[in-house]
Amino acid sequence: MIIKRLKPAVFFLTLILLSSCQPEPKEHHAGLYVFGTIVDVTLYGVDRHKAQQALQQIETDLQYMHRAWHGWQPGPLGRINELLGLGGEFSANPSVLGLITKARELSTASDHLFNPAIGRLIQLWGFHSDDPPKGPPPSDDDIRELLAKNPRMTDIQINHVRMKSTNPALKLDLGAIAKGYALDQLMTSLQQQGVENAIINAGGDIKVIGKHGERNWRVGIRHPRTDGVIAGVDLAPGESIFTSGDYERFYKHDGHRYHHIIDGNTGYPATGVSSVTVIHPDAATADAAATAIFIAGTNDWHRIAKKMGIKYVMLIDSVGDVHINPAMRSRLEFKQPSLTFHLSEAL
Amino acid sequence: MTRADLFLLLAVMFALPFVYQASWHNQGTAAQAVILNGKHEHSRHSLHEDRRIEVKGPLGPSHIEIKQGRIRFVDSPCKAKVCIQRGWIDQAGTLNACVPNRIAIRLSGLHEQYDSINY
Amino acid sequence: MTDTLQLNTTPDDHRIAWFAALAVVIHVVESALPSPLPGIKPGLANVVTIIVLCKYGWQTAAWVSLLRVLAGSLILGTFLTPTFMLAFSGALCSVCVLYPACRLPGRGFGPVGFSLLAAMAHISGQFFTAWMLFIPHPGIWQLFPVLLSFAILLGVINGIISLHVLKRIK
Repeated sequence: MIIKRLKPAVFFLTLILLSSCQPEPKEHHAGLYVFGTIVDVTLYGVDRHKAQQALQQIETDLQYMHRAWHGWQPGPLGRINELLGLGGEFSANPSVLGLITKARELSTASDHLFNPAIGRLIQLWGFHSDDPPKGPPPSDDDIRELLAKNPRMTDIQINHVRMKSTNPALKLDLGAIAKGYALDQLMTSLQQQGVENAIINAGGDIKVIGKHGERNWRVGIRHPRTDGVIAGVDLAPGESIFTSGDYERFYKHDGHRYHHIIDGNTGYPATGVSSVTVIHPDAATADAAATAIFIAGTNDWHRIAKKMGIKYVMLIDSVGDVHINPAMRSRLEFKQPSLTFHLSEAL
Repeated sequence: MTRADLFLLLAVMFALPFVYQASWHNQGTAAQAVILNGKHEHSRHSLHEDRRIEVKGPLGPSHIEIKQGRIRFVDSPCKAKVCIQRGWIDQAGTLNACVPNRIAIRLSGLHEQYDSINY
Repeated sequence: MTDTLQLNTTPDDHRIAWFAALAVVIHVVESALPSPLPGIKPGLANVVTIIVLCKYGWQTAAWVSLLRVLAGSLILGTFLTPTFMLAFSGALCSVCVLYPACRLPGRGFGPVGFSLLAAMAHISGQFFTAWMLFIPHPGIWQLFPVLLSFAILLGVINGIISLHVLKRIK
């Protein structure tokens, strides 16, 4: 009799246990609203007190970076943009100098496909503010006029803290690197505070440090055209994964769709590609490379990736075909059937 | 055993792996939604109970709908309506937020398949 | 003058009563045995249902099966408890599946096929009830294929037992 009563009890208990296998509260989450997006922070394996301190620090840092690196609002970068336009030499705010130097290196490495000097072009398209623009798109003449001035990062001369631009049309928009650079700095700061395991997702772009307990941090890559996951990947400690997609920011005008990844050579949104995903230890490099490779397109992506020292790339073109290098292919666990692959040479 | 018995047994053995796959494959689909209001947790909901939730943010009330294992913003007093454009989400690890109104939805699964979603 | 309450019973009623009694005994004995895994039991009482189905048809088998669950739960004191609801929904589901199964043209299914179908229907019915009434959590479906595998195994074994018993009593 007792056994009979016990059995269903054990049965249900097992079901409930199996169905509620939540991880112990070793994780601490926080959602912070900066950079016009939500930054999702997960810390693993720290106690509550330390986690709260670290999360507080991250929020302070992020707000500072947001203010400092915004090219169109009053603040350090906003001021630099004004001074660059005047052509004279000036002392740059040290909080932005490192970022600008890094951006210049990466721009050169990418054959200027990643070109943060085309701030005025971005502004013309309306993709400079946190709010998405409504259109209409700029006129061909306006675009041609800006293109003719051909601003490049190499037009900036930096001598210690002194800085000047030889091209008055140059205006900085660091939108395609700031997030990555910020993630690198936040992770360094977390490690200094003694947080060894963390994952930060800033509007879809991710960097990790350490692991999630015994296993690596695990990330799903969203398909550019559906809400589903196209592939899963384990990130090694310290790695970051960045995706540039035409679906992130765009507007529609007269039945045309205009997205935010502007090709500095044509002056128009880059065509032929839906998304580019890059895995790299340095988040700033991954960020810039995802944009550069997107602009490079299906024909030139491999050369640019190689030139920038990127080892893992996946490009999904506008018809949905997957262009990928062998190392990336073997890392990703694809979740969707009947994908067409174009396997490149090794990077 | 009759021929029909044998046929049934073979059919069942053939189908069994698919039952395993169907039951275990969907682990990534989220089971729970955490709604954040500002930095603080507003509420938690199972995605298997259809309902509508109103959350008051700094701009006003945002309406969130849960239906058949998915969740979305129905309306929100923001200008851009990016959160509404995003539509239904159902994958564990996914995040959708109405940034101007400081309201976010974070999905978690039973056995979370992904710690985060890259896009 | 004495009025006696006359209950007109048919031979069919007697058969149902006898077989149900036999099934209840097996049911009760089986429930006292410890099970290696919660939620899994051999279901030997179903052997009786299958034998009755093969010899006397669906209607008699349905009566035996449902009476067995009802009487068994009264004896064990689980009537209207979750255990009963699960067992009853399982039995009901098997009976419903067996109805079309024993109306196949030609030779159709034998005891093994019936037993296998009944076992699978039984576990599916139980699971659905558990999900609807007690644990509305999709997590329980992760257990379903495991229990289904056992149901298939035990269904085939019970079917083979029924086959042998049927051969002997012929």
